[in-house]
Amino acid sequence: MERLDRLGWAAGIAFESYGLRIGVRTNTPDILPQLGPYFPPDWTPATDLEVDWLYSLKVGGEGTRPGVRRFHLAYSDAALIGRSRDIEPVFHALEADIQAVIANLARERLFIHAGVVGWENQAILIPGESRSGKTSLVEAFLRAGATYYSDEYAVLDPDGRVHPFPRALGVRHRQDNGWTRQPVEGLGVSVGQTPLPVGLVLLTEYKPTAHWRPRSVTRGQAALALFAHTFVAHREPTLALGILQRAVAAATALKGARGEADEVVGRVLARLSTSQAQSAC
Amino acid sequence: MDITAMPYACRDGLVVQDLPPDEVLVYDTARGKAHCLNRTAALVWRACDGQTSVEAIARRVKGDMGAASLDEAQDAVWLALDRLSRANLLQQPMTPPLVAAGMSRREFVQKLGVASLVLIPGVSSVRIPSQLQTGSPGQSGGSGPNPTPTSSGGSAPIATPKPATCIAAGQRCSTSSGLPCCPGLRCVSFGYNSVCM
Repeated sequence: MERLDRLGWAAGIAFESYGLRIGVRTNTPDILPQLGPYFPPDWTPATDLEVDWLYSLKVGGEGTRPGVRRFHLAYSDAALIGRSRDIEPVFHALEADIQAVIANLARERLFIHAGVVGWENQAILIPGESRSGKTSLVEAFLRAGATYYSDEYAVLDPDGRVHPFPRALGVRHRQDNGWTRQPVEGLGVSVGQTPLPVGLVLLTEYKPTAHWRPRSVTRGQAALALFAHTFVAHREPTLALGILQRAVAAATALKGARGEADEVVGRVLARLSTSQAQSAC
Repeated sequence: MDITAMPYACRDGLVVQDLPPDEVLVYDTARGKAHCLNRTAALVWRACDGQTSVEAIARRVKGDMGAASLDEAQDAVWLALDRLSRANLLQQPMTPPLVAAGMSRREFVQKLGVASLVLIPGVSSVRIPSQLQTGSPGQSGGSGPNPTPTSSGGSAPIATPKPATCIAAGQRCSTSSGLPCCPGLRCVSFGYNSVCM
């Protein structure tokens, strides 16, 4: 870190997010205005420049010698997290790492690897690792009119309610099966503003030949699955389990392999509407 | 059957969370495994105090769960002990005598019968993935700064390491952290960073 500190840093920015103060320093002040879209959804500028976690962004580009292009480099604390001749991949590495830092160190919030949508004042949680199909399901729910909360993180408060983390949504290209991230503002979907109680936990994985025939599982099993995807499960198990107990207190949970996302979403929403109508009677 | 055996549940290193109405979550901090016990398994596990025999536990299960007979309750208790053993939740593993005598576990469960479905003990287990455990995004391997809780409105901080009593030499400090540098050191600011020196 000391060697990193000795590099020439010309400017920086500090912001707060989920109780953490994060700083980014750079050798190129012009780059700072471009960073905002890569910060967490709730970020606010901080005036105090003493930070809990520091990033260093060294902009490369054309060097002094002709024909030599230097790498753009990003460091999380002292660790190199991004190295590319294009700046965009370095920005994405920075974004992903900031989110991971917050998920691990946020104060007063519990972060779970899960997609989240809101439906009729309840949150639907879809826990799963990256590339497990969470985003496809979230997208299908949004097409059906659900409210966007997150495609990656369920953010729970101490009462077990789910807060929005509406980061840019990963959108799959039909042509090459690749992904790009698009700000939700341009997608015409409603974005969650208020915390919601957990209504449903979907424990599912995509299998190309599967049809959605879920079975109900207990709240304990739902909490167990959520715990397995909780960032601080090892470090703060007592707090995490307490919050999860409150989170699933009124939730139902379904488990099963799934095929196409739209099939699941249609049947899940029909089931939720039916159960809500029954409970209203 | 050795109905005089007195099973003893592990307690050390376990985080236990009741989940009303009748489930229990157990996290084994040493093994990094979490378990969900259903009502029967939880009842048996809690009764395993090293002083209560299998027969006495079975009587409790019969009374609380409404088993048709003591034999049926004993089968349920042995099955629970077997599953708790396999989850490393007992200090001494316990195998149902019939299984030890050669009966398969599947046959033993079938012996308990469909009529006793409500009695069948359930222990679901998951391993907590290690990649979520570290606070080391960016492969920093834990070498990063030691984030310390700020005094934010008196709410209990979550997801932060247990606070040390002071910050050691060379580690970052913050005027808002509430933690002082260790004796003989002071918090020196370097632009965006402050270090105890």
